[in-house]
Amino acid sequence: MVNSNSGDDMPDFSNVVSGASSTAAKSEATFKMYTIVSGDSLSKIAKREYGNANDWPRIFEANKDQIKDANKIFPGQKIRIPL
Amino acid sequence: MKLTSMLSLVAATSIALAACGKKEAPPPPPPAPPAPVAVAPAPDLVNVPVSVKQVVLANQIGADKKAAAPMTSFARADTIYAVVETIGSGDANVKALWTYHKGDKTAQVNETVQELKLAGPTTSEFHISKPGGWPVGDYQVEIFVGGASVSVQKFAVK
Repeated sequence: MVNSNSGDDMPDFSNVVSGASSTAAKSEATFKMYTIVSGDSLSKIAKREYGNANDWPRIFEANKDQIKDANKIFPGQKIRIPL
Repeated sequence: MKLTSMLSLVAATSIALAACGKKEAPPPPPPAPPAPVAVAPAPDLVNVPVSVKQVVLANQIGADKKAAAPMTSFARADTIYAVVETIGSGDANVKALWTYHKGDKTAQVNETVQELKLAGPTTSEFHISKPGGWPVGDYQVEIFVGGASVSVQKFAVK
């Protein structure tokens, strides 16, 4: 079992920058998985990931299967953040 | 010339002519062409389900996305690449799950997914970097295709 939330004596990896690419015939989507923690909002996540809080709809669109209301996200919820 | 002598001459001439007219033995047939060498067909790398050929780690990749020099030990400032080579065709959900290990504890570093349409041999890369540098220690990246784990690569940051 992987703990996405680092323990007290574990390093903090929240600022890790990731990316991906491929020589595939077609790339449908590339995204990072993120587990929501207390205090998060889509705009906060967008600010952290994209540098612009106004980009939150990009995250919302990628998770419409599980987020029906952009103002209702829950700690522990695992969402996709388009790269 | 007597008749008997003439007859003898004619007979001798006939025999000589017959001998001269004898056909020579036919030339030997040309050598048979060499038997075809059985060549194993090249493995089909396209019309097969997607599978992972190999996963290597590196701190640099080329324009072809392949690892410049495979390695398992990185510096704190490195960008770390996991290069995934696949064969086969079809839709593929390829995931890299990066984790940090300290004793019996594990922390997730990053989880990135690529949804791809593959049409033959493909090279895909996942990379991570950390502003301020990686904590020294033991890490691993586990690659999943279609939700199934296909490779685990351990590495260290020193």
